[in-house]
Amino acid sequence: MSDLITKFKTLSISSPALSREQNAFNTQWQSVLKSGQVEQQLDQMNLFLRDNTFLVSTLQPTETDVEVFEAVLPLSKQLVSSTKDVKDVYAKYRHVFRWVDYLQNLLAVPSGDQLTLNHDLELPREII
Amino acid sequence: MVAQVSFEKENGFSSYFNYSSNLKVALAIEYATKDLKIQINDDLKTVQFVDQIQGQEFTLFNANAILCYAMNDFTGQDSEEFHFSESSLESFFRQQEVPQEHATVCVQKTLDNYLTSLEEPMTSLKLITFVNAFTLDPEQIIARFPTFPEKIKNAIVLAAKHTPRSSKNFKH
Repeated sequence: MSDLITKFKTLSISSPALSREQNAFNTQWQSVLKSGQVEQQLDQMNLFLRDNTFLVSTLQPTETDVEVFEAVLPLSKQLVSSTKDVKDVYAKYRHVFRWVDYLQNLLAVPSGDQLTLNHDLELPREII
Repeated sequence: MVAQVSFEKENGFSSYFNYSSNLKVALAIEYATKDLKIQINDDLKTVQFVDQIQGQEFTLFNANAILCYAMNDFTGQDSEEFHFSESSLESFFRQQEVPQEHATVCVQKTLDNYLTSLEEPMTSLKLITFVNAFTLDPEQIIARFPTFPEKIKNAIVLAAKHTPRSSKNFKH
């Protein structure tokens, strides 16, 4: 079990009973994670997180959020640091970054390991 | 409301990925619970399941999740079998060149440890493992199970009908 999962389990966040639809979301993201497809599904994840606060469509994070977060955090840092057009990356993955930011603070990820976000950056309006 | 499901028709992925996704979608149609009515949407070119749940759109893009949802069976997802099926078998499908010797060994391991029978009633996990192994090495699976259950046979026919043909690494 990873350090972040251990840390998550110590937080007083109850595991809700999942509906059929939420169980399907859980399977979807576990499948993406276990088959090594997180990077390829980042666009889908952003789209999903546009309409849902967390990956299983729950009101609070689940272990699946934390497991996927472990894979997404380094990817997000790489995306932000490896482009000259930061604004474009922020705009494209704004919902993923919002989710990463929430989880890195919830899980008290050390500041040196965190994704550093410029919260003052003005982004173009999202067209849905 | 009738749910809509579509098959993978894009050629951007390997034919292994296309075929395994489509076979899972076809199995979802065959094994869906009685309360779930599913229609095939031929206009979409990628795997997607769309339904309306309490007035809101419910969408899935992952074939494993579609199969589990259709069967309303989410058991075994913390198991070693699910982990093996995803990280050892399914991870091959995203590669353009599958190392066949390695794949054959993995399918042998699947048959020895997990896929020991194809008797009904099937679970979603058993079907996912079956599809992943069958996609990688159909000869080995057919040698072990010369006769498939009727629903699996129907799904294989349906998946073949909806999967684009490719001259590269396509064995079905």
